[in-house]
Amino acid sequence: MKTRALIAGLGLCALASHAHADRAGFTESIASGDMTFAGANEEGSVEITGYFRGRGETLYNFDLDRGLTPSGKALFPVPLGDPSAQALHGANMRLRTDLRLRGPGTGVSAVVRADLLDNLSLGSTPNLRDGTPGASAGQDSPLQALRIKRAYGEAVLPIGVLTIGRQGSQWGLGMVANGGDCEDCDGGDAADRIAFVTPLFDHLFALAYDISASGAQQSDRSSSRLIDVEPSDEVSSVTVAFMRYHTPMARERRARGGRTNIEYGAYLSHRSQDKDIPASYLGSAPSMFVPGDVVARGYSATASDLWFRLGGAGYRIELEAAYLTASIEQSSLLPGVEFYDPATSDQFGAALESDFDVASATLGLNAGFASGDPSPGFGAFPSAADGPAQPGDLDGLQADLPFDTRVDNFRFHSDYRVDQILFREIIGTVTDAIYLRPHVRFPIADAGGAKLIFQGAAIASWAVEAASTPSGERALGVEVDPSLRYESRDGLVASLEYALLLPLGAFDNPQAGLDARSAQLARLQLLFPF
Amino acid sequence: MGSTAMRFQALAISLVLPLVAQTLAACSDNRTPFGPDGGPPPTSDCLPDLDDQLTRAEMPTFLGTVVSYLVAQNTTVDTSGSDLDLSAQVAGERKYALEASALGEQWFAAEFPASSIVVPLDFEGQAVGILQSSDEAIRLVGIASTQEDYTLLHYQTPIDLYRFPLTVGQSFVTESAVVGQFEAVPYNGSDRYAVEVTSIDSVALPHLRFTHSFRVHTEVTSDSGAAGLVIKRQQLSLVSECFGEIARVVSQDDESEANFSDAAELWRFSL
Repeated sequence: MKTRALIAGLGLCALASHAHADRAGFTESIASGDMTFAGANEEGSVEITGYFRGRGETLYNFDLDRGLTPSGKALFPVPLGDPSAQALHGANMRLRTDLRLRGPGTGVSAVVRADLLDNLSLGSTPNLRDGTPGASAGQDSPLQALRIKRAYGEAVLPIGVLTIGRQGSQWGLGMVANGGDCEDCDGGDAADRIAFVTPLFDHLFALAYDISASGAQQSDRSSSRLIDVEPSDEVSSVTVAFMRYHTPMARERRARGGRTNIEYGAYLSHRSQDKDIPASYLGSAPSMFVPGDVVARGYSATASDLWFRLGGAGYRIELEAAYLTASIEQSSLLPGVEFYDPATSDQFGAALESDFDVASATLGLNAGFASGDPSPGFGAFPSAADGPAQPGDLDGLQADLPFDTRVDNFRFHSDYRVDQILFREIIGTVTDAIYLRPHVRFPIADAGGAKLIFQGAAIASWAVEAASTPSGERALGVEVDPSLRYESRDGLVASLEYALLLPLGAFDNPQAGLDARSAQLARLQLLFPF
Repeated sequence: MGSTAMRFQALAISLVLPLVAQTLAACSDNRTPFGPDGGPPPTSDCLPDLDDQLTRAEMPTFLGTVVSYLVAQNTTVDTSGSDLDLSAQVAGERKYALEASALGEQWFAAEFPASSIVVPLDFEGQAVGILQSSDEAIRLVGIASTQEDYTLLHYQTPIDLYRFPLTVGQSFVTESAVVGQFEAVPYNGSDRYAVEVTSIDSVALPHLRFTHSFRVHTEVTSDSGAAGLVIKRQQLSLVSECFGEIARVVSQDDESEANFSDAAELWRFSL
């Protein structure tokens, strides 16, 4: 079984992750309202926005006290030094900067997103000059102190907007394509893309070409740049999209005028790869490649996504649904070794959000569905090195070539958050699951330009495929997530969050005779926007 | 389902009573031990480069790693041509899990260098070969039974099974006296191994196709020392980069044709 993982594991990871690969995301230039034909700007300008974020949290009993899986793993890391301890603590920070550099004239700009100390754990880079952390005189700069997540050029032309470079990718609710723009987001998608967006008939139409992976490269003679040595191993994506969309400002204005906002959009994206050079990404890549490194791949994936939003004064109903299908004609990563049958996938996911103002409160119901795969484990973040999951495992490869060639679990983007503990931390994301999430929000105090708001949600969830859960039962759990949010007039946002997860039968450990016990979380997040 | 229903009831209670009830329920010692999970399976940086030669690094040895083979006896095999189809199910075949191991605590350990590797010679686990491995060759230095003090044979001159790098056209012969005891009877004979790498073939197995496999033909002549008792066997091994031997066909005794079809044993790598 482990041998199979060595042959095909990473290839299956590619299949499993195609859902997050083929996606459109044009809201970087559309939804942000930048597609405005600005007036002349003689000198150019620099616009900087962003935030500093600090988070501290305590995670209590995230392993659910249910012992180890058949693969010998806990559901979540447990304290190393004290076997009886339950709590893990941590704090991290991020300084996000979004720069827009406008050139003189109209509509030409360069955009950069740079995150400094991105999700850096406090105290994680102690100065060890004197030998031990206890003698640390302070913190060293981490190796990756600066992460450039976006860098692209944008030109507003008479017929539309042209962008090229590494761009954020966001669509709809962010269930599939998520740019990581939310306050509490950790990741975010970016695509190396050339895109053109044009307004026609009160809609926006977009066409994009992504170079998703350039494949094997080697240095030129001067070692100043890299040369793509095999065109057929390039992974490329083509996306067409249309949408009827209002900017947040227009939406607000229309709502105040008593008008109903009907917005919608759809995209179709296709990704393909003819051949592959696994030597370029497995192990230590050689400086030179040879013809024998090239293997057949035949990867093809198509993603389609529909988004709809109905809104007005005091209400919002928003829905996104996506269908993803893919096949890999040849899943083997080893040159000279071929499987007979292709690996395939069909995945479906949908998410619903709603808000209704009732007196001073806002009530709503969110819900979601992510298709499952009957193989053991959720397949949220499978590791090729672990091989196919065993019954009772939390995660693992969903295909087991050559005997099981399908990967059908749909994975929500991990930055599309529906809870605090179960999907966000223990499983990793929503996959192979159904959930219902009633929620409420109301102000507690509003004085002097500062507001204190209560937010609460309860999430009930079930697995789509019972065989995917550690115990074989479908009922995953019920989670209660209350929080207090403080917003000051000058921008400071403080959130004090608590969560209690009551795990249900899915996480019991019948082999060990242990039932899963509740988990808790407390988190304080401070946001300093600028 | 019973436990689920009970916990829905517990949830209702905890919502009526403050959530403190459940909060306190988890305030006990952790019942989940640290899970080292054994680490990932042994892997190698070996990636086939299909450069028409097989180096020692392209035949990695994983001690303790189980490899499965489908084994059939007394069957007919078409070994002609450069596109071998060994994918069909064979009547009576069985799947065996075999693994190489260190000399360690084997009963014959004192008889061989400590760096020796022990590999199964038969699918029933009754006989093992003792190998020495270097960058230049893999050599057979002895044969032993797993049953203590039953069979133990030494090759006075180590037999070269593979010389590296394997290339088409390579051939060599090793002869050695074989001494010791065989099935509890003293033995004093000689073996002759004639090895030739004849071609690079495509081989279809039950689950996989190997497009670049070295066809290694070995003729073994065993003289037991008893009057007139000389046995000649042909063996076809198919060896792939980073996998090693993926298939083996062993002839019946006293087979003289290199391209034989009457096989005493057929071994095929299996998933």
